[in-house]
Amino acid sequence: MSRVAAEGASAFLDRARRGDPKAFESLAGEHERALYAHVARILGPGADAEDVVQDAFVSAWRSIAAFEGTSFRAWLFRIATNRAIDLIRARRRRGELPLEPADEEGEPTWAEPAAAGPDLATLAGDREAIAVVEIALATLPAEQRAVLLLRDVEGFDYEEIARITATQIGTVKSRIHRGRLAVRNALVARGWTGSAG
Amino acid sequence: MDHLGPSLSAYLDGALEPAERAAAESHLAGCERCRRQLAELRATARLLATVPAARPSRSLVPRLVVVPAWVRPVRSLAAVTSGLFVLVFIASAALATGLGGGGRESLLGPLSGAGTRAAQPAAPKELAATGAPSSVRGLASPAPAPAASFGFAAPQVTAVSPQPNALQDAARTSSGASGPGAAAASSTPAGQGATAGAPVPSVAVSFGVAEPTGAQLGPTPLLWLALALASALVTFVAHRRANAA
Repeated sequence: MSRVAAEGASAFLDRARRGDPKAFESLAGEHERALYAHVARILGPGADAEDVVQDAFVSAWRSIAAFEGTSFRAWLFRIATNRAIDLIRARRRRGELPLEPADEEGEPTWAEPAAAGPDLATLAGDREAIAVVEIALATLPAEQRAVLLLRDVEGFDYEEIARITATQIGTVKSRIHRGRLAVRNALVARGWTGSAG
Repeated sequence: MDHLGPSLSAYLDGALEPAERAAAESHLAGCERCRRQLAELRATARLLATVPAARPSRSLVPRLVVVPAWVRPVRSLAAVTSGLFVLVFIASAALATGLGGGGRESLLGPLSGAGTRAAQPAAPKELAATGAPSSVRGLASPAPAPAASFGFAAPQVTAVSPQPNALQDAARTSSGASGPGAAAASSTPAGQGATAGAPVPSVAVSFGVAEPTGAQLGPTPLLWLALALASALVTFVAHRRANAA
């Protein structure tokens, strides 16, 4: 058990808010891996993702006195997610990334499988399926990818995601659904099908 | 009735309002297509949750606690100094006790209250002792302790009777605290003894000529003990500071 878990995160947060750098380092250490994994899923793993997380910690430390929320984790994810998306936009402006399709309006399409294949529900832990999911994630618009990850990997609820991404709940709903549907379509295109639940 | 479409994910995530949720449930009960899509979305969400996590190649937590550059050298220096002061204290105490009862008294002198009485006149003399170039010799010379810090009697005796012989007699009969001081004065020419009426000159005399009668190192062994403790304290503080990061 970590020191933070043993002594209570709120006590560490209070100390960090009063300017105790040691307490902040302990708190940051608790979220370091999850935050990096999240940013690496948005940006791709590597030095850029590491820099984004480190910069997010520095930024969080500088503004910790102004932090008034209750979830330090959500706050860190907000800072890091926004930095990651800003970096993607900057890359796109510099022509390092192709322009990505804007969020479509209207009902997204459900691709139908060419032929009946294995049930999607049997794929948990299937390496090939996970590889397909990762590729599908990488092709989503950055904002959609970030929101889908915040929901399905990090487990934030819609309201938290709306705060993290500074968007409306309706936008969050739409992005989550479109993102999931795109991943589902990628899986279906590889031959998996769903069964009636 | 319209199919659920985009509401399926919100339903799956429990993000619908109660009324919407009830409507969705009644629709799902009668719509095989929406049930299938819901199952596919659920399976997709579960797969997404298992996407492996990349690991950073280095620590990403910024080092906010910075140890100033001077802390570690100060810690080492203070540790060595503390050890040296302990050695000097031991040597000093051994020399002092080697003198017999006198040394013991000189050790206890400041604690027995004489120190407070002698504090005022002693202060300038100790300053003189540390400031003087002969202070190194003073360390090895016995006299300063009784004469300067609490052997207040010695200069007084000198002032009253500058004759060396009288001093020696006084030294034999008086407590050991005044012994070294008296002995130092004993080798002083009578003329100098006459000028020793003021406390400060008497110290100068002690420093100048008292070496042969070595009794203890420095003013008092307790000084070395105090310095050792002070250095240990500095070591401790610097150590805490260095480990704070």
